Amino acid sequence: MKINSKKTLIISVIVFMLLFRIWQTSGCTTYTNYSWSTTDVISDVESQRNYEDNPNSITAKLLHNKFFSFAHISLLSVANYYEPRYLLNILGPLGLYLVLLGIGTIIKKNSKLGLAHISAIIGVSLMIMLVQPNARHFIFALSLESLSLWSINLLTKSKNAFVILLLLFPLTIWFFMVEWKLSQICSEILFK
Amino acid sequence: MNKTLIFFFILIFCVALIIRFFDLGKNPPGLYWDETAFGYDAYSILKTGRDQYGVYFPLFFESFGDWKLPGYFYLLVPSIGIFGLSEFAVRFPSFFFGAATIFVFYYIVRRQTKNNVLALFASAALVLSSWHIQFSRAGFESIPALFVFLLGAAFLLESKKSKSTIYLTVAFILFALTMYIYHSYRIFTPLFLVGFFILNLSIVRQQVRVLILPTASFILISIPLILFTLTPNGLNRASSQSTFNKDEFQKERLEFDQRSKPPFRFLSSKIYQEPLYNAQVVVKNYLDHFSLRFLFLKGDQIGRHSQVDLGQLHVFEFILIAISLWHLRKIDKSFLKVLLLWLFLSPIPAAIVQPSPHAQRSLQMVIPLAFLSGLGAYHIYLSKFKAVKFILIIWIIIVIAIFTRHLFVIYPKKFAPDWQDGYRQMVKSVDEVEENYETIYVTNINNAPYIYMLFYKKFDPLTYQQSGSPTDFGKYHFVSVDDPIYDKGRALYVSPSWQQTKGKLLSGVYDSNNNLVYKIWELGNED
Repeated sequence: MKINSKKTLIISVIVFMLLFRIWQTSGCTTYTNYSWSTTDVISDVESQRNYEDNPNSITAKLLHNKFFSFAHISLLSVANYYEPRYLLNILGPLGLYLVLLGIGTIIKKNSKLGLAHISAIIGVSLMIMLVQPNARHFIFALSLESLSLWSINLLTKSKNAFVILLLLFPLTIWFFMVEWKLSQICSEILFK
Repeated sequence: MNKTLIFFFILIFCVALIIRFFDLGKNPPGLYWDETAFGYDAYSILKTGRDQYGVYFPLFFESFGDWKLPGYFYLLVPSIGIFGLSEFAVRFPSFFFGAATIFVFYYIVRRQTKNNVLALFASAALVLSSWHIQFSRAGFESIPALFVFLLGAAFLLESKKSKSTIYLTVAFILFALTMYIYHSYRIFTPLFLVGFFILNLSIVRQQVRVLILPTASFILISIPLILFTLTPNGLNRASSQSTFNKDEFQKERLEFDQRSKPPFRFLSSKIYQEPLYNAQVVVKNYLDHFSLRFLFLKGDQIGRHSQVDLGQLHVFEFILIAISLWHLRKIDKSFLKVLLLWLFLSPIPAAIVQPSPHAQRSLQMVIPLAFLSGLGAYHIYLSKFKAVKFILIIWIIIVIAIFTRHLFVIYPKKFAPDWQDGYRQMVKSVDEVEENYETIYVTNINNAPYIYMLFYKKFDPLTYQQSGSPTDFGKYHFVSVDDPIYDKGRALYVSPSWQQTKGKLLSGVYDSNNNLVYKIWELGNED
């Protein structure tokens, strides 16, 4: 297969999977919200301090305070978007494979542009906390999927990598059908 | 190795010893029932050469019907012989092998990378690893199994360099022994060996004869284990932990069927194929072990397996590991392939069982992750950005300080129930009054109280083997809540704190945190 044909095929596969998954999410009536609230921070501080001998001591206040709790809870909130089950839900097995290949290519080439791309995606995952849950999932999915573009050259050159793509494509369609509930993305969904 | 490096090596090792040894018998508070079972069966072996069921030097221990592997039991025998039957003795082998693992790990890294400083950083990462510390401080089989596997890996890598059949044979023998210490290695070890040989196929093809003796040794040692696995008890053990749930599969299939419209309804029988469905369950469980929440923020949610809410690794290790990925190309390729093979195979044993993620069943991940943390730390050490180094050092000190305080001050209070804290106190309370009673009833929760009674009373194993059972021995009877015990004359009754009993309350039993956990009643004398 010629390289240009391969590239076209790979890009078509990526776009098709993305569109198929976006179509499936159109049935979502309530999107999962991974935000945190100030109540979470306060209750976390109080529950941690309760295990101290003296919850009002300086040590207790130094170790269990809103600053540390905020850092921990907000990191947890962001980390939800990097949960493997969540990534698998939005990208599917093939999408995950392509993204990992893309990251591997960036590391192998020691690409500064690639590093900037990864940093931008991390930045996006922090910024999307400010938008609505439905927009959040779309923006994050699109930004993450863009990493798979780095894998295209490798896929066109490596026979093994390309064969894995061909094997994972039907598996991914199957996975998307079995995971029709989009359990990590939707709290409530209409079947389509 | 120059004096500075020797100094830091000794310092690192001393830290390893202190953090794993301090309050070893007291923290975690209480012995979990598996630890108690290990202890009493080992004590029974020491005294009589037989386990609690009277089996002479068993290869597999019936225990609670879960058929435990023999490794930890036999490691406990000398420990109990030296220290007596106690919490400390039960946990000592974990501490010992946990500390010894540092040496072997340092040796492997130094030998494979020819870099003393990198080896020190990697060892420091393992010394301070909250994942490794957690399991080194209690009676977990996974720690000695990891040590033996690491030792086997050292011999394996050495045999590749020196082309020595003896080293290779020793490696294979050690690998085979890991499968008798912890269940995970029954899957991990064979997979690792197959993977290792695929990675070195060109060498293997040239020297097939060298493999004959080691392979034969491995197979010979494994035969009893393979045969046991095929018995009903072995199969029961495997299926009891399995993640594959037929009911869940049928439920999913039915729901798809009910919600789909003709002509697509036929799809449910095509889409929902059980092997494929189970495969995606396994893949999800596998990927859970690379979750940021599991590794750096929340950890294993089982209270015995982590500090919970602190991550299996320290949060700063995320930065170290991220940096290390950028420098992997500088590592010897063949060693790097072994490490990556190790890392990616490690979660497999945990992926096919429940719950997931599981820190104990995937403990072998800690080695490649410690290497990556050490590699990241090494490259920060080499960097010219002093401000970055300073900030990182301060951050590391703060995190380690918080972790250490959590480990020794908060954790024993927060997770005492996970360690069945209260049983020792219960037995002690019973001891104080038992001579006044001919019969003592204990509510049988999870079929566990009997082993605690045996352990803390140091009940004579020979007497127990001859006339005892998990439901009664001597004057002790382990009863369910509904058993008729009230019309059988005067007796002592130990119940959980929540259970209402018709009797005269004698005393309450409190755990290490002063929570009421048991009540001791007198029956047949309500006046």
